[in-house]
Amino acid sequence: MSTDLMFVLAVAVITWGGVFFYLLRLERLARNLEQQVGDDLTPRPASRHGKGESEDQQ
Amino acid sequence: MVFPFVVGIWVTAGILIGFAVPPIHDGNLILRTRQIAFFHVPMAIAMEVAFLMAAWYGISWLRTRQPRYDALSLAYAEVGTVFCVIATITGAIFARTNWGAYWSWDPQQVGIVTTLLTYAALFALRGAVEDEDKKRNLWAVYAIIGLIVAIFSTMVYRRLLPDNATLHPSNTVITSDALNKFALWFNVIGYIMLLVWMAKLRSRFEMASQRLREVQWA
Repeated sequence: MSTDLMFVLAVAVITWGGVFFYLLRLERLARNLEQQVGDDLTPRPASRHGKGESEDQQ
Repeated sequence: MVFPFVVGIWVTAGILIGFAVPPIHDGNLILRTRQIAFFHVPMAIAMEVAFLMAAWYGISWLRTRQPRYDALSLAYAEVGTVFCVIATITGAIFARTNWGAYWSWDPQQVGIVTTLLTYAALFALRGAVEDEDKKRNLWAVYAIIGLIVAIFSTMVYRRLLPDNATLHPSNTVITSDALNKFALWFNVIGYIMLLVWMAKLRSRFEMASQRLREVQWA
């Protein structure tokens, strides 16, 4: 493998590493946010008027 | 919490495999910067899957009226649009090294930009509606329209034209040797898993923000 190709490979792996760890950070953030707003994303029955969850909350 | 690490290891392995495969032939030519094909093609396929999932969850919202399906539909469409941008940019880099120009109004390039602009317009239309239920109903229809446009402009349009109308390689990697095929499908699976992870993550933020809006207006 040429030096140029090694360089491109290194850039690709480092970039992907950055994206991956940022996504992991967002994953943690989402979990904290869900705990704070009390939302575990479990399906809830829809209302008869088609308002879904928003009406249940009000 | 295991899934993100599976995605992380899979995509890293896919990048390494993409750099280890032998040259790819397109007719008598050897494709330059072939490694980008193992990123560009899976991104384009994952984009189509994303738009398909967006339409599917849009229909699910219409059938069940569960807000999480609307959040998932929006999330898949958004992540699909990001993948569309990446596929467009990597395609332009590939075009520059193989055909001498970043942009040559090739039918495939026009098709992918049409898809990109269509989804940009659909997001703007969704954002313009204030009523939550009306917004979700309209979005479900938008997601189906977006999928039709995406399939036509990126998969059908090019094939309706004469063979010499496009420079874009057709099935070059798929009809290549076994190792190239393996590298391609390995990466396709990896980027589809990445798509699922990103879309689910995005939908969780969307659901949390919806809940916060409800609390704010209650």
